[in-house]
Amino acid sequence: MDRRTHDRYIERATWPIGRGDRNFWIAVSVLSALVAAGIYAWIYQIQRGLWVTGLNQQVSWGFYIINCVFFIGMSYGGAMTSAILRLTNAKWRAPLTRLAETTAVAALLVGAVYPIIDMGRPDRFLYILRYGQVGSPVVWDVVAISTYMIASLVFLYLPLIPDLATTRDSLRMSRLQRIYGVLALGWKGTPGQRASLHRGIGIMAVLIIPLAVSVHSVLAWLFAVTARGGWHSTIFAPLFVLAAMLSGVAAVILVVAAFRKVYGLQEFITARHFRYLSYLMIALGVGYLYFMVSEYLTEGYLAEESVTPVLEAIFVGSYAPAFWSFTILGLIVPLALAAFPGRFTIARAVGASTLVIAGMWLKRFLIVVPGMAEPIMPWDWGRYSPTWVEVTITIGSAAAIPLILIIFFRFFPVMSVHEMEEVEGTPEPRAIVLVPTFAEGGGK
Amino acid sequence: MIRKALLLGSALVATLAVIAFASGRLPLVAGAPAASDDAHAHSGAPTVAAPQPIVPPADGSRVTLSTAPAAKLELGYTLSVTVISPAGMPVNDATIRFYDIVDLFGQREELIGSAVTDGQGLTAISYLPAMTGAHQIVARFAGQGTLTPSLGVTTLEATVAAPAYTVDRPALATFSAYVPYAAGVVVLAVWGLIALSLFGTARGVVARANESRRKGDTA
Repeated sequence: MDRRTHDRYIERATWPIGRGDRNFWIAVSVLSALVAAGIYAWIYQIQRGLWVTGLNQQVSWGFYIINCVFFIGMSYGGAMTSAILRLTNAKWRAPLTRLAETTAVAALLVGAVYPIIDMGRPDRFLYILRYGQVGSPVVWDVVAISTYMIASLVFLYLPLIPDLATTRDSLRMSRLQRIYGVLALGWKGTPGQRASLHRGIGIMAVLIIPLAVSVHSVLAWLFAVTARGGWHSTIFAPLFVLAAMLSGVAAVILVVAAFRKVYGLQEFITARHFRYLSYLMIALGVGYLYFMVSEYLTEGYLAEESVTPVLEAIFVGSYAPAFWSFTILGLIVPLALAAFPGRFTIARAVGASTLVIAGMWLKRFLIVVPGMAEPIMPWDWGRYSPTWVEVTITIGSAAAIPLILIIFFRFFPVMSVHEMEEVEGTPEPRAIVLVPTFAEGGGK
Repeated sequence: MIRKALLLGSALVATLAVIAFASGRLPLVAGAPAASDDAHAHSGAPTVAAPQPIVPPADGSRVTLSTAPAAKLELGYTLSVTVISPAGMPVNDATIRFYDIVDLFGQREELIGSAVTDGQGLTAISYLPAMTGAHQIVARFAGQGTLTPSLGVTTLEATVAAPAYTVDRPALATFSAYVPYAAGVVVLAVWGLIALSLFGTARGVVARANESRRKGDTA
C-alpha cells in the first residue's frame, strides 16, 4: 500500500470521530426513539406484569427467548468471523475485523438482556446468583454468556489499542485526548509492544472460538435437556452453533455493507470482501441444511409420541407456512442467490444476507413456540400471539444494535488501522496530519 | 442497488414476520378451539372443561356407591357400586367410571378406574389413595339404551395411602457430582486466560512504553 492510499485509509477510518453531521443526528434520533419505545414497553411490562405479553402458562417462552437466541447467535458469528480471519491470517481481513467485533459485542449486549426481560421481574435475576444450582442449564447460561461477554469486550479492546493511540495523537487539544491516552496504554508501536499485543490477541482469537461454541451449546442444552417434543435432540448444540454462525456472518455482511456505503469505504471494502464472506455463508448454510435434515429425519423416523405432533404442526399444520417460508426463502433462495453463477454483486450478497437473517429468526420461532405449545399435561395445544409489548421491545432492541455501532464509531476508528499496517506494511514515515473538526472545538 | 436489495429484504422480512404471527394465532391441530377472548383463555390457563355437576339426577338410574376397607388395609379400599334402573331393575353390563375429586389448577375429576356391572347391577374396584384424609369419590354411569346418565357420590375417609414414591439414585450420580467441579475448573481456566490476555498485554504495552520513555529521557 502506497503512502497516499495508506493516508486515505486512515482518513476514512477515522473521519467520523467527533463528527456529528445531519445524517448522523437523524439516524441517532430515529434509532434512539425506537430504543426508547422498547424501554417504555419494558417498563410498562415491569409495572403490570407478564400478563401484558402473549406469554402464557403453556407457551411461556416467546419472542424474548427467540430474540435472546437470535441476537446472541448473531454475536457469535461476528466474533467467529473475526477470530477465524485472524487465525488464518487472511490478508483481506483488515477493513472487516473491527466491524465484525463491534457487531458481536453490540448484538451480545442486546441478546443478554432478554433473559432478564423474560423473567418479568428483573430483580429475580439476583435469585439466579443467590440461589442458582449448578445442575441448572440456566446457571450454565449465565456463566457462559457473562464469560463470553467479557471475552468479546477484551477481543474488541486489544486490537483497538494501537488505533486509540492513532486517535490520541490526532486529537490535539481535545479533552478526549486524555481518555484515549489512558485507553491506549502509552502505545508507541515499539517491537516489544507489538509482541505483547500479538500474544494477547492470539490468545483471545483462539479462546473466543471455543467460548462462542460453548455459549451457543449451552443455549441449545437449555432446550435439549428438557423432555419436550422437538427439543430433546442430541444434535441441538451443533445445530445452534451452525445457526449462530450463519446468522452472524449474514449480519456482518449487512453491517459491513451499510457502513461501507454510509462511511464511504468503497475503496477499501470491495466486492471481493463480500464474495469471501458469501462463500463462508454458503458453506455454513449448506452445513445447516444438512444438520436440519438429519435432525428431522431421525426424529420423524422414530415417530415418538411427543415428537410427531410437533413435526406434524411444523410440516403440514399451522406452522407449515412459517417453516416452508424459512426453508425456501430463508435458506435455499439466499444460498442460491449467493452461489448463483454469473457476475457477483454486493447487492445480491446483501439481499441473501437479509433473507438469511429473517429466516434464522423464523427458525428460532419454529423451535421455541411449537415445542412449547405441545401439551405435556392433558390440556389443549397452547397458542401464542405476541402483544404490542413484545413487538415494541423486539423492534427497540433491534434498533439498539445499529445505534450502538453508530455511536461507537463516532469515537473509535471504523476500520482497524493497525491491522492494515500489519497486513500491508507501513509506508515510509511521514507526518500524518489528521485534524478532526471537533478537535478544534467543532463537533458540528 | 444496495438500497433496492435492502428494501426487498425488508419487505420479505415483514412478510415472514406476518406469517410467523399468523402461525401463532392459528390453532395447531384440526378441530382445536379458536382463541377465545376471555381473560381465562388469554392467561393461558388449561382449557379443560369445568367439572360436571356431581348431583345425582332426580329421575335417572340410581347409582349407589359405597366404600369399605380392603381385606388387607395396606391394599386400600373397595369402592362398590350398584346400578338400579328407574324401574327398580339391576342394570347389567353398565360401564361405571370412578373418579376422585382433586384440586389441581381448580377442582377436577381424576379418573381412578372403570368397571362393568354384573347381573346384579354390581361392580367394584380397589383404590389406594395417594393421600390420607377425606376424598370425594364419584361413580359415573354414562347411560345405556333408554337409561339416562347418572352418578353416585360418597366420601371416603382414608387412613391409609400409597407409600411415598422414592426416586432411585441415578446410576451416574457419583460421577455427576464431580462434573460441576470439573466445569468450574474449566471456567476458571478460561477466566484466567482472559485475564492473562488483557492484563498481560496491558502490562507488556505499558512496560515497553515506560522503557522507551526512559530511553528517550536518557538520550
